[in-house]
Amino acid sequence: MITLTDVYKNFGDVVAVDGLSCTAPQAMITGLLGPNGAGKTTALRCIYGLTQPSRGTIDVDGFSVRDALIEVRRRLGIFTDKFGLYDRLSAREQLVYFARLNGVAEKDIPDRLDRVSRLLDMADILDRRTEGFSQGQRMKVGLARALVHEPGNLVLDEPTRGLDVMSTRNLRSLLRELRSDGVTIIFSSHVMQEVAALCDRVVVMRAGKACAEGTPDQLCEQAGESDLEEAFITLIGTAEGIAA
Amino acid sequence: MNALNAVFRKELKDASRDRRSILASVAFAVFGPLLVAGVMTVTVEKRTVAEDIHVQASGLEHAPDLVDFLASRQVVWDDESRVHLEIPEDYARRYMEGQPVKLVVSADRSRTSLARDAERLEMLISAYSADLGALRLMLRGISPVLTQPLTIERRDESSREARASVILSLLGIYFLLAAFIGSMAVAIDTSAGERERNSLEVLMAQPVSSLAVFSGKWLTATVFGLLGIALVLIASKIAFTFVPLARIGVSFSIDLETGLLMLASLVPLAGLAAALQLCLAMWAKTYKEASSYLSMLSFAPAVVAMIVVVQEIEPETWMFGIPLLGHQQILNQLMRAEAVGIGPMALLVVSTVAFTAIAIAFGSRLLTQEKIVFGQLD
Repeated sequence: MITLTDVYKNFGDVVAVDGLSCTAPQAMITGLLGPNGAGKTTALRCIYGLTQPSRGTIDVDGFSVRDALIEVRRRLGIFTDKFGLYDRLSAREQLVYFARLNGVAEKDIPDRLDRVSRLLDMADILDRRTEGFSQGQRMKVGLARALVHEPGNLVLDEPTRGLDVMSTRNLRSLLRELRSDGVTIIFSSHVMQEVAALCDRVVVMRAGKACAEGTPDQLCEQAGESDLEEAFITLIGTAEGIAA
Repeated sequence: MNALNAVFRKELKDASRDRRSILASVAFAVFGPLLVAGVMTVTVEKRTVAEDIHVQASGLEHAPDLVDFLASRQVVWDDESRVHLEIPEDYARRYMEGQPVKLVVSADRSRTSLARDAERLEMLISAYSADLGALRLMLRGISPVLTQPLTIERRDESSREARASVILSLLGIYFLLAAFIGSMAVAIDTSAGERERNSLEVLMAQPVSSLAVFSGKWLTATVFGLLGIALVLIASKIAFTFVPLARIGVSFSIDLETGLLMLASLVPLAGLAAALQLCLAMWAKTYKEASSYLSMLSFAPAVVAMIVVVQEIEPETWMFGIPLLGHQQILNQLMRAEAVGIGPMALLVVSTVAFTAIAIAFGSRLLTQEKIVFGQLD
């Protein structure tokens, strides 16, 4: 479970996150929906502690990001839209590296690699250097890297950006599978369809704030609209920056 | 410790597959000493092989005795030459009468090679003249020694190694450079390069300290710096066996003890160079910027060495507390085969390690900063 309480973050005069409070409950998929520049990426970076909030607290499974950063990161898997891979290393070598960084015992590593490669159906590319991989293959390696230490929480920043239809479908079914295993999932997106198709809970962000939070049905109710798309537009005040 | 080990093993594997940058380092390490050795071989040849003196002469027929003498001492008559010797018509008459004969040697003396040839010719003529004078005195029963109340004996007290050191200080600068060049490509690739390839964000979000990440990268860069140094030492040893240094009275050899002492001072320097390079490359905004900063940093040893040579700075104790300056002094002493004190050596090693520790602490802090991890353009 991930909880953000009253998080502020400013870069000089620019306020990126302006008092954001929201929760990503365990075994659920929570979507951060908002137009570009709403502060989604900054909020996620605060969760894994690469950006320090100016104010507010963030807890992951009860551990504070400020006081127990290493404990928090052990419980997180991270996947960003710019998942840079080490092109001179094979997929397997990269996964071993991240397993070690996360403190997986040396004797357990082959087993973990086995499981994650079955989960992502990537046995065929495991021993190839990632240079020249297709976008879909790169996504698999990036996801496997985030999952190899079997974290209880998964943070994804615009995970489907730049992916083809097939990879997007694979990603969705993977996230559902992880949810049924009890993993807490939070991801950001500016694509409405995506959020509607996948999320149990949606946090609608605008100008660094959460302007609405709840299940898709609750959001429709709150906005007084029957259609989710109309509900988003009503909540955000504009459709600008949001993709259908 | 486990995290550091993991980073080090991964970076080492990653860097060792980067063939292009390895090739660049190897080329630098091998071709440098070859070049220096080549230049020295040519210099030695020029200094030791005496060339013929080409002279355009007029009036040769008037002085057959002098002509024979000169011809037996590498003087060649050549109408094309720009060194002139004029023998007057009355040479034979004045010679017989015991009067001085005036010979004219003319050349454009602003040109080094002509001036040198003219001088050599003059020395030969002077020697002949001195011989004649001595013979004339002896004929009259006077010892020629009387005409030389004072004589000078020239002695050179520089040791053979010291004579070589001027040329060899070139090589010393090269050893210092090697510490920087060997690690340069790896230092850039593993910092600015990793950021440009978008993997730094995920790496820094892992449950490891920035100190472990930085140290792992630093160790990798240091290993490559050390490889560079080892290659330069080996290449120098091989290349210099082919230079006929003995012919100019110079002996140069890196024996085991000297080699080990050199390593003792260069190993910490490789560590310092790698740490500084990583800090600079991370601080740079882009990969390209990092490349130009690190190239500038590599000039540091050359600049320090130039100041030392030009200002003729003599070693003082405090200098061994400053990396590079101290290294330059120690290498110079070692190559001149002078004794190196334990105190200065220890001071140099300790100060270099201390500076390295500061750089590592600073670099680890850099890695926790947003604008360093995400890049400033983000």
